[in-house]
Amino acid sequence: MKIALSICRYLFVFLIILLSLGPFLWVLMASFKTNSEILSNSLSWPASLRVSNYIKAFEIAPLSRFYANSVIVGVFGTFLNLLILGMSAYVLARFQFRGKKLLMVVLSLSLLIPGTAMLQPLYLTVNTLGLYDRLIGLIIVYAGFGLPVSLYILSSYFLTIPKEIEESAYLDGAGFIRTFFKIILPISKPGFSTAAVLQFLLCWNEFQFVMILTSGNQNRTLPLALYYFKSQFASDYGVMFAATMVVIVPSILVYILLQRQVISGLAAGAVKG
Amino acid sequence: MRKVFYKSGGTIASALMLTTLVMSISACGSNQAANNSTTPTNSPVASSKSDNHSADQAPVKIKYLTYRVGTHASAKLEAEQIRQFNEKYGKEVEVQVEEIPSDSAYEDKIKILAASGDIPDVVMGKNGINDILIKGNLATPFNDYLDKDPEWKSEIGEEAIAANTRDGKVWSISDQKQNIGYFYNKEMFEKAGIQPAQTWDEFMSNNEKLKAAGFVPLALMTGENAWTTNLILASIVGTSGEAGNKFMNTLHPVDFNTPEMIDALDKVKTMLQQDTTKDALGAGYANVANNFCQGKAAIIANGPWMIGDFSDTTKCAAGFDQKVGVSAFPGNGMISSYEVGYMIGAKTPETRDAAEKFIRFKTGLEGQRIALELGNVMPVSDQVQPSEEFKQKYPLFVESIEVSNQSKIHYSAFDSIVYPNVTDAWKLWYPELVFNKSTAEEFAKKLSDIAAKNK
Amino acid sequence: MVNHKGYIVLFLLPTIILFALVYAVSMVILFGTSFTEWSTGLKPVFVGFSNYTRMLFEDTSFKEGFWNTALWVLLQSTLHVLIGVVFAVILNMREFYWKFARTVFMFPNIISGAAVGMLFLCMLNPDFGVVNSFIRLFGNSDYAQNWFMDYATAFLSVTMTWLPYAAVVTILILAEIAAIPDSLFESARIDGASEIKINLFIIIPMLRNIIGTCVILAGTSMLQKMDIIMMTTGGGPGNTTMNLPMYIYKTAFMDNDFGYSNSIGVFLICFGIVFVLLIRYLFRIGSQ
Repeated sequence: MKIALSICRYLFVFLIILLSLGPFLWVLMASFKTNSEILSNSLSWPASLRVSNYIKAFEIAPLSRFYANSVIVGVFGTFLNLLILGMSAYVLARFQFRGKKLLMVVLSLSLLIPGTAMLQPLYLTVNTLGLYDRLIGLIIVYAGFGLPVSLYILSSYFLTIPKEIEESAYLDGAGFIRTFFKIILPISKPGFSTAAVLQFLLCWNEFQFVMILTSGNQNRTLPLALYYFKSQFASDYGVMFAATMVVIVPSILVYILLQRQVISGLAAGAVKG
Repeated sequence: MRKVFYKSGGTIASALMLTTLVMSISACGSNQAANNSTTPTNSPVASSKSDNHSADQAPVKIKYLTYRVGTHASAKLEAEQIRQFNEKYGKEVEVQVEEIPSDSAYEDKIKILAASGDIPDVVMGKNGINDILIKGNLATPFNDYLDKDPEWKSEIGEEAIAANTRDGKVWSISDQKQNIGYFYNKEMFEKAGIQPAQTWDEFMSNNEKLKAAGFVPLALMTGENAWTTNLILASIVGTSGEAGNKFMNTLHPVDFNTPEMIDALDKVKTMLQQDTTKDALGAGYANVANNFCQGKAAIIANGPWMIGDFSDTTKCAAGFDQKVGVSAFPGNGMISSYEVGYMIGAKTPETRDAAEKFIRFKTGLEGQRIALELGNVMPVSDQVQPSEEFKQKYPLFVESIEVSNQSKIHYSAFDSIVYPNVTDAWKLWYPELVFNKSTAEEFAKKLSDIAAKNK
Repeated sequence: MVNHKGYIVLFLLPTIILFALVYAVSMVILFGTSFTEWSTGLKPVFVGFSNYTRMLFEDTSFKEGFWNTALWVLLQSTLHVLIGVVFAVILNMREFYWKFARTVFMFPNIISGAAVGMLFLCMLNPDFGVVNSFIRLFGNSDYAQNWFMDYATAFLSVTMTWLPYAAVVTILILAEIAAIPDSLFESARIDGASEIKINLFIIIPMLRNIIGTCVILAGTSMLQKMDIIMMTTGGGPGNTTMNLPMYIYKTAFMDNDFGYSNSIGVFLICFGIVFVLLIRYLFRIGSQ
């Protein structure tokens, strides 16, 4: 019985690894192929290593500038989001106060508003505030988009921290803010890292609102670049996938970095006992 | 207590530093935007302050959104037109170009801007955008400009102007003529022992012969806007007689339940079920183009811009361009229409004049020449002829001009006449037809219902 | 205890401001214009409830979109969460593969939308796609199932494209598994409990909160997701893979009817609220 379970387990894991690595490898291979190769046979090896796809990617689309912008928007968008939501998630998880339920429901609305419906209102808002076509505008908007997910993740995580921690901190004479920043935050690394991954991916891969809320190539981010290779009568998918690889690599690095934080939390067994 | 303030002071200080950092970066970003627009003009915006030798005013700034970037077939011609315009008129007009890579993203953004009252000064009226701007009275007609400039009028031609006139007002200036027949693989045709069909019955029997010879006859698609399939559909209707031809030349049809349509749908249904590649349902343009170029299908309905692909070795085998022939549809019919082209969205007299200048350059003879040479685009005016070089490089293009000159029956493509939501609907409902879940009549009714949503 | 009221407000304020900035205007416009007839390029015109009556009583596409959405919410919040939980629990056993597996399994979520759509189209292409090529190995050389466009398989295919979301569930749960005290495991092992019993009766109940959160996040993601549908089936064939977010987009940008589109948006929000409240109640989220 135990062996059967183990076999099931290994099969399951193997399947998941295959399905996860598969797309990534496929994109990698496709980035070295020509359009006709991609569209003729999905599993062949590239006829030759067309590094020219990568060169063309940088030529056709303003990739380097978009890269810098994406990094700025990604880093600051994540940081802003985590700071703001960290603070409120803590309060919502820990304390009871009047109107708390209502506040949670109202904040949850942000999870439900359809993106399409927000295109025009956000354009108006951002324009009126003078944030149109500015990186800071994107940063704020993305921090807002990540509001519900970060809120849920962080408040759920804070709930797992035993109340004794704060109680002993207060007994030691620490104030509210100090307790939060010096004591709670360091042990919440797994929660924050996880929220950070999702938030960073949101900033890194978001396309629709970049297009609506910016107008110059000075302030645009990477996802837009991918569309330079796709048009109605002339698409070059090989180059598009090369650009995709260029876009993926940093996000993978960020993910690995942040996951190290989570692992260290796991290994240490964090707070316990 | 003091300890707390000390520590939180540290937090506040770092927050302040961070904010300053962010502000400076964003200021940096927007400064850059102000100082270099994407067009390499050498007249800085602030020149109005400095005293210039002549009474030069600062150039009028106009906004222009374009989707002709990246790998778009017209990207090169767009860039060249803008470059040449800037050379000539850069001192008077500064064009702020915003690139929107993706046709549908372009349409979305224009609609958002229209809903917010912010449309750019020069707009491409494609795919129903012109209707929106006309309905909302957001565009400026060209009548006055054309009257003052008879040379320009003749460079565009009466037909093209008439095609974009509604209620006597010329709302847009066409930049392209569509002359579409179909390309076929001469080698495959020879092996099957056939010639381009003269009637639709012959067309269908040709398909049978191609299949007997082991080839897939048609490169059809139902994904995206079902482009190649609908060219054939349009041609069957357009060549079916007077009523059909009139239907295919009238804007915004709401009733698709006509005998010509039904008959055409039945024929196309057969083609989709039996005479095409297995991935036709849901296939996009890239798939069909690839299928034809890789010798997987014998016939593809498409326009002259594809001709460049045949000599491109990343897309087709070497020497493929020698194997391709071009023909009119059975009944000697060809899709022949004028694209919507450019509209003036500007709101002030100066920006309107500037926009008109820009459009004038793009659609005048010079602009048309650039479009022809760099984008294989059929010019609107007969005065623009391909250069000898061009003719050498693309003999097929010359052939296609001849074929269109000899064609007798003309009509528009569906994308040019139907409402945009109908264009969007083909991909959803063709499967119903192909899987026999709907009859042609029901399919036609579906289209009529969708068209009726446009009040 | 010290009175924390001031700090509570201070800590909540930035979020409230951010929310107001990014969402409040949208909600007001959304709600307000749902009672108008607003065609792109024209000014909105007040029409009362006619958008809602049309939506609820006359629009068959809306009904189909609604049922598809409801089904997907159900599937995503059960199936995908289940897979994610199982995988997280397995990873927690920290067998030899665990570091590699936990890095790799998130990859599909990292690839951006445009590429993923194209990827699936190529994988499932009836002619040259991997899936069909693989199936052909088993004998039937004519096999050319059109996964995305055949009525029988379209819904299933699209549901499969969302499978990678299970990875998000996994990383959320992994983050919280650390919160379970080791002492609990020790005493359970000493008592002789098997791994399965430990997993089922100790770990999973302690993850009640985060699992509930995952159910909410997964389910509500189905109220937003339309980019993959847009790139693969476009909602077709017919309306089989149309969901409400997609329908909202089409109504706004294809039918040029912002007013009606926004009323569907309001409906979607109400549906979402019901779902969120239900799950919060079922999982007793928010209590410790």
